[in-house]
Formats: sequence, C-alpha cells, structure tokens
Amino acid sequence: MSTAVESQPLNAEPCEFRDQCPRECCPTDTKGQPVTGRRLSDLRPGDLASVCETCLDADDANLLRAMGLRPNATLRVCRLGDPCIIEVHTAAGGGCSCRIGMARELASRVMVVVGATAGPAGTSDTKPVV
Amino acid sequence: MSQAPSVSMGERRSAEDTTPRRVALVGNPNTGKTSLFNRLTGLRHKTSNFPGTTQECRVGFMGGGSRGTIEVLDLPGVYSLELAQGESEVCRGALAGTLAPAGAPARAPDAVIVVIDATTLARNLLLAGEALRRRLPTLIVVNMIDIARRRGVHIDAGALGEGLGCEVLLVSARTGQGIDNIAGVLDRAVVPNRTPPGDQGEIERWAESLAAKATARTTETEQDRADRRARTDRMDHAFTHPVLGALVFLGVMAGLFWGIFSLATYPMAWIEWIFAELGGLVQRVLPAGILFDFLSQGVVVGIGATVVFLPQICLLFFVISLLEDTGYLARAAFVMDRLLRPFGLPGHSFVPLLSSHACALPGIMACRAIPDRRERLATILVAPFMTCSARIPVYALMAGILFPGSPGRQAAAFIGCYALGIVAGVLSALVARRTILKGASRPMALELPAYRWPNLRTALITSYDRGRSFIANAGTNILLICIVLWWLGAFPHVKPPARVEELRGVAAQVEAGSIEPKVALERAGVEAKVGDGSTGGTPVPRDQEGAREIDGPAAASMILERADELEAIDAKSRSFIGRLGRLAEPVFRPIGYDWQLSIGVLSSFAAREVFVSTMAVVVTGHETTDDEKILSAVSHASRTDGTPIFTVPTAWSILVFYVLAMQCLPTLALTAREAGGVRWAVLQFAWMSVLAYLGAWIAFTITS
Repeated sequence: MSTAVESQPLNAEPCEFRDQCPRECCPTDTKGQPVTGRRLSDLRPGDLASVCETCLDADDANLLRAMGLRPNATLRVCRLGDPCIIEVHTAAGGGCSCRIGMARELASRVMVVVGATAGPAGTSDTKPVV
Repeated sequence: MSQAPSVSMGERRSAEDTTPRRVALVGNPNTGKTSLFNRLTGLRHKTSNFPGTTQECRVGFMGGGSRGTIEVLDLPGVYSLELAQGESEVCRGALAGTLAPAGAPARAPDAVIVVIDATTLARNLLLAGEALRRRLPTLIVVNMIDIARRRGVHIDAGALGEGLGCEVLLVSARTGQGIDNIAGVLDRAVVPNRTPPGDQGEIERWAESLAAKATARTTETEQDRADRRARTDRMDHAFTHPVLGALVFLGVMAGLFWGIFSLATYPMAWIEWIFAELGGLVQRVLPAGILFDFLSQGVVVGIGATVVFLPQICLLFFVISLLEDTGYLARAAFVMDRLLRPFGLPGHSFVPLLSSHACALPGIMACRAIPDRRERLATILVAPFMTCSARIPVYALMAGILFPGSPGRQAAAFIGCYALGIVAGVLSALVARRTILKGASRPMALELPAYRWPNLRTALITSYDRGRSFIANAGTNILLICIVLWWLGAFPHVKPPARVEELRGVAAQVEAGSIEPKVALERAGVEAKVGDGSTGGTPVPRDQEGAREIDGPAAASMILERADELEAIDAKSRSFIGRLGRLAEPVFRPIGYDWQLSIGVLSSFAAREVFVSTMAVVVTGHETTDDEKILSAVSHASRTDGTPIFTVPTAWSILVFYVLAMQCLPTLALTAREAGGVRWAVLQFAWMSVLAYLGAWIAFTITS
C-alpha cells in the first residue's frame, strides 16, 4: 500500500512506527523521501484531514481501506479518544459519507495530513469540502 | 472494458431444466440487505451454515420470475470480496460455485444482486465492481433511496447503469418501494458489458468517479447537513463516553433483560400449562406402563423442555434486532470493548455473555455477531460459565441450607455465585486466548450506521427465524437427551422392596376394616396428618392426636402414599442412573458427595435444573419441588446412619460445583454446531468439569 503523496507534511517529526512498520508502508513523497504525516489520534475534533497512510498489518489496513479509509480520502474527526470516530467523505459529496469508529490503537497508526482537500481516492484532484 | 454475451438470467437455462434458479445477494454490512431478503422471500427461508465454517447463510425462495421459483442466498455482509476474512472467503466461494450452504448443491449462482446503500455510494460501488468482475448476470439494487432523498441526495439510475453496464434499480426495502420490480428486472439481468479495473487503486478511483457521476444533485443545504452532523456527533459522544456511555448501556441492558424476563414469564407459563395438560391427557388416555412413562415423562417433558425456552430466545433476538437497527449497538460495542479487551474478548462479546445469564443457548447463538473467529470461539467456550436461570433452583436450595433464616446472607451467596461465574468465564477466555486461541486481539473498527427508527418487520422475521432455527437444531437434541435421561432413571424395572409390599398389605387391611386406622398407621410408621392426605399436609401434634379421628380410607391413602414414596426412592437408587451414582461415588467422595448426591450430580449432567427434583425423588420419593415442605425435607435429609446428606462443606462444594460445571447437554450440542466441530464441545466440557471439580474440592476442604 506504499503510496506516493504530494501533500506537505505539517508535522516535522518522523513517523514513530517506521522501525516496526509491518509492511514498510510508511509513505514517501515524489522524491522518495519519507512523508511525516500526523497521527489521526493527535488531531482535534472537527479537524478535516486527508489520509496519507496506515501503518497497520495487512488485514487491518485492508479492512479499513475497504470501509472507505483510502489514501487521500478526506475525513472529519467527530470524536477523539477511545473510540476515535471519523466521518469519511467521498467525491460524491453531499450526504454521501460514512462514519467509522475505531480503537485509539488503530487511530494512532493512521497517518493523515491536516486541512485536506477532497477528491477521488488516490488522485490529486481537488475539490473543497467543508 | 470488454463486451459480454447478452444472455439474460431467464434464458441461461433450457426449458427442461426445472431446478430453481439461484441468485446470490451480496452487499456491505448495514446496507439493508437482510431487510431486502426478507421482503423478497417473506417467511419462505431457512438459516444454515456453510459446511466447515461458522458463517451462516440464509436461503429463501421468491416467485415472480418467468421461470418459476428463484432460490435466494443471503451471503454475509462484506466490505470487499478480496479481504482475508471468513465472510469474504465464503462470498468468494459461493460466487465461484465452490461453496454452498449445507444441504444445497455447490454451483455458481445464475445471477447476483448487489445491494448498495444510496447514502454511501462510492464505498459500496467498490464491492459492486468486484462482483461485476465475476462475469455473472448482475442486478444492482440501490437501497435506502428514501433516506438518500430525505438527505437531498438524488441518484441517477440511468447514469449508474450506463457506468456499470448492467440493470440498476432504486428501492427502499424499508418501505417496499421498488421491490415488486426486482423479479422482472432480475429475469432480464445479463452479464455486464463492462469490466471494472482489477487494481485496488484503480477500482477505487473508478468507484469514486462513477459515484460522482451518478449522484445527480444534492439539495440538502449546508446548514441542514451541519445540523444533522452535530446531532449525530452529540449522540455518538453520549453513547461512547466512558462513563455516560456505560450508564446508558447498563440502563438499556437492564431494560432489555427485565423486559425479556418479565414478558417471557407469561408465554413460558402458558407453555408449561399446555405441556402439563398434555401430560394429563396422556395419563387419562393411556394405561400405566412403559409407553405411558415414555410419553408422559420422556417425550412430553422433552418437548416441553425445548419449547419453554422459545419465548426467551424469540424476545431476545427481537429486541437485539430492534437495537441493532437503530444504530445503537455498534456504539455500545465500543463501550464494552474497553471492559472486555484485557481478557482477549471484543466488545461484541458482551451481548452474548449477558444473554447467557438467561440461558446459554441464545447467548451462544448471538456469538454469530462476533466477526473475529478466535474471539467468537473464546466467547462460545466461556458463555456457559454465566449463571443461567437453570442454576437458580440449586443456588436457592444451597443458600437455604448454608444460611437458614438469613435472607441477606442468602442474597450475598447468590451474588457471589454470579460473580464467580463471570470471573471464571473471563479468566477462562484469557487462558484460551493465550493458548489454543492465541493471536493478537484485533483492535476494533466498526462502521457506525446512521441512527434511524428500527424496522419492526425485520425484527419479527429475525425473531421467527432464530426461534425456528433453535427448535430445529437444539430442540431435537434436547428432546433426545430428555428421553435418554428418562430411560436411565426409569430402567431397569425392579420389583418393589418387601417393605413396600408390607405397607400395601396394611393399607388393604385398614381399608377392609380388619385393623384400626391408628394401629395401621403405627405399624406403617406413618405420622397422621391433617389435610388431604398428601405429604404436604400438616402433621398432627402428638398432644392433639386424640382430638381428630382418622378414618380407614384416609389412613389407607396415607399408607399407600408412603409405599409409593419408598418405591420411587428404591426404583431411583436401583435404576441405571442410581447404579452409575454408586459407581461414581469414589470420584465424588473427595468433594463431599455420597452416592445419593452423586445421582443428583449425574442426572443434572444433561440439564442442571433437574438436580433439585432428582434429589427430591432420591430423598422423599416425590418429584414435585413446588412444595416448601419437600424442599425442607431435601435440605434436612439424612443417610441411613443418621448423618445429614447436606452438611455445610457439602453445600459449599455443590454451590461452587454448579457455578462452574458444564451440565447442559443442549449447550454442548449447540457449541459443537456453532463452533464448527465436536472437539470444541469436548474441550468446553473437559475444561469446565476440571475447574468445577477443583473449585468444589477447594470449597469443601476450606469449609470442612
């Protein structure tokens, strides 16, 4: 699931899971340099963010991805803590969104870039979503 | 994109082929797939498992097509067909034709209905794309169209059909809108003329872009949307809050179980009455003998013991279905996850464990909702540790023996038993998860469906479905067990002992008037009683004996009753179960049980509630336990050497034994079925028996 993203990291600290990342999936930018996103669990309620990577084992990562948490998917943080509740937006916009609750442990391994833009997953198309 | 043959589902079979066409229903969880299945098939369905798995599949039949009945398979809800989960594997196998529900031939379905949620179109289209790649005639049913429209989301079915290359129908399974068109459109369903991309990233982009094209317009204002989100946020905060969420959950569960217990009381009483009447009918119609005993004590009791659980099971699943439909249960699972996670159990385990406090059978059936296999198995294994209602008579008897005349201490003993069961259960789960079911606990990730009003129709059908499944599967086992237990207790038929014959002779003499009633009673060693002559009558005080004359027939009746009691005691002790009791006595002696108690313990191996009635027969010769006097007689019973059967250490030992022991054959049968193998039932029985024996030995040794 290694994905090249063009987002500008807001957090200068490196991903703390890089050493133990089960699939060496920590993201890199277009120059092959590691992207340091912020952990989803570190955001504030109401924040909008864009998913850059999930540092999880394959089963959990694939399940979350199938549930809608895809690279570049835009999400809104509804509740932090345990569980962390997010609302995942889709390109269709409007009322088309789904809510996912996840254990804090999972949320701390989902790397995001804050202040995201929405677009079809995996693309850099932009379309503002509020 | 590739072109496909345009043969519709209706034309794929020859006219001679009369086997029902098979349609598989696939969809994400929470898309209303079950509601749609219920709409299509009504009550014409059954629940079965995929062989070798714990995944269930409902199979139903719908009419309306051009070629007669259509068999509909309701496959498990999945987010993707490609995940390494049991549910996805089952769906893959069913669509490929390599897997079919038990009893059905394995063959690829003639068509697929993909149910997608109109409010989360992009995510649902990912699964639709994966299904389209299977190259089967496909119909896309966009469900919950009413909710989408209320939110101002308008779906363009034409654009969606164009993008998918197959028929698209907009429906609402909740209101029934568009459902009637499904059979006709399904008949025309063809292999889609487009093939979505196979690469994960590409198919996601394809789904997103198609969803954007098909979402014709959104008329909900920003303000309305913000208000809706804020409302949902507030409810989510409350329901998942560590303290408030737990309080709400406690309240909901207390209400749920209070409702189930109090409401189920009435139908349970009616069922007991009906079976008592049936027993009476058998008694009136048939002459005394083996057939009479078999029917009245084996078959009628067996069927009664099965059907009596039905109200609890139906009510439980009815209420759970309502709660699930509201969207609340997904939130509650997170609250309980915090509590159970340290023991290797997920939040999903809470409802099954709580249900097991009524009866382990519905509890184990409710384990189907636990997604992870290891966690599901661990919950099934420990569910019978929870104190079910069948243990209560034993607790009551033992608490009465331990703390006579002290209701407060008796209540404390009850609470202690419940707590011991819970602690033993969760610690056993921890042991299982650290050994045979080893594996990292999967942190919970759940979709939180939108809050909505529950669907009564779905709840009723679910409740009917679970009830029928219980009767068909567990019920037959319970009946069989009751018959075997009756046989072990009733055979071999032995001649009444000499003392019984002697008493009957005395009764005949007093009835004929050849001896005085008072003399006869003295000779028979029977105490004269005021009342109707039953054992429950009040003994006449010695100083008032002269005050009341006992006539001949009354004295004869009392003597005959005593003879019957002695005969029942003797028959029980010489029956197969009695012999087994004597044989097992050395095993149970270290925990304080003599041969009589061993009979009680062995009899209750099949169902623990029979302990008190078995002890009543062994000690007093009476099977009824409604009478306080008989319970008192059991509590104060003594052996032939005058020592009491129930001492304080014995009572503690029995109490601990009954908290921990697996004494419910129906539960074992259900465990084998739900866990997918007899070995799990054997393990459950062995683990609980060892723990019960050790616990009872510790209790006996400490209190001796």
